[in-house]
Amino acid sequence: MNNFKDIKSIYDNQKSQEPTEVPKELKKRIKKADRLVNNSHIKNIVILSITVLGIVGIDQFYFTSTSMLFEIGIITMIMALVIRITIELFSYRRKKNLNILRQSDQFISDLKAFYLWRKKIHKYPTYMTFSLYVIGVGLLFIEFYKYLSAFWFNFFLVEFVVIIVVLIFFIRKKIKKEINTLNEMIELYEI
Amino acid sequence: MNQSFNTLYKENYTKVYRLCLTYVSGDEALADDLSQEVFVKIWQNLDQFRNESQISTWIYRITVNTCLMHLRKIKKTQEKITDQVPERLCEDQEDTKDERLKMLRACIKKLNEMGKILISLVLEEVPQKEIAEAVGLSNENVRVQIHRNKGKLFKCMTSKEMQNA
Repeated sequence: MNNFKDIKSIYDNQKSQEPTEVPKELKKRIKKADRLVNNSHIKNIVILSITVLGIVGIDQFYFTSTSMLFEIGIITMIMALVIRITIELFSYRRKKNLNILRQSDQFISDLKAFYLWRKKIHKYPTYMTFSLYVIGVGLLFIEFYKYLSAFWFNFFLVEFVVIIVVLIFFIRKKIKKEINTLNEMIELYEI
Repeated sequence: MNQSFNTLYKENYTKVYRLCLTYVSGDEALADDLSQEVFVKIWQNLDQFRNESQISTWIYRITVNTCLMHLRKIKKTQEKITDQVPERLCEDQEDTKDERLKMLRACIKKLNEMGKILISLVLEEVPQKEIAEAVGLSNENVRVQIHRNKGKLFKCMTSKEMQNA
């Protein structure tokens, strides 16, 4: 090894094949990327919007005569979902605005800023929207108390508490994992 | 899929693949995956190419940025790959070539991210001006950094060869 030319000759000696046409796998990937619904934020927005519509529908057409407390519960649940949809929309917009055509140094700063922002919105807004939703469902329970027998009321209450506890456990675990990943990413872009 | 994209793919796939392959220290599956991702991005942004720079510079920029975007995936995969430097160089000429290439990749892996990017582009014979344009550094800064990283690479290669001697 005498100079950089020797290194270059090692590099040039590697075998490489010239493609004859665009492979099917790439064509599939392009088609998939073109579809908007493949974006995870859009998927979340669609699911959350359907849930909002479901809640509004049930409130309008099923529970026709309800108390003020019940309506506040419904509104609280809808508010939680709307906040989450707004956050997802912002995330989608910010991700979409990452411009791969920028010069690499600027692109690195953009990526870092994006992950810092995601870290910021991940923790407290998630807990806040979850709490709002739980409060909303809790208010509905007060109304259910009037209509359900003691057995069924207690049955649904216990079920509700169990679901909440399990969800808190999973959400905490997921947030912790996501924050660790984001910290790792932010550190990686300290180039 | 239009004809211009097909031509673009045929003319540039090898370069893109080799760049990715060097950047990911020889992991062929990951390099192929990243190369495909690069062409997805090219397809999505083709209408934004304005002939202000050469198409090659534009493609290099997308390639480098795609690799940067998947830095975590790359690091995770690389953690699984142990240092690929062979114990001894083989007698057989073809094997020696392969082993020297592995040695080169192992040395490139030791450079920092910008060093890896610059050396990958230098090895692909991308002109310095185009490199500066793609990565967003001044010509002078690129020249200094390339010189520094070539030195590191050369030092690493020589010490590995001495170990094998």
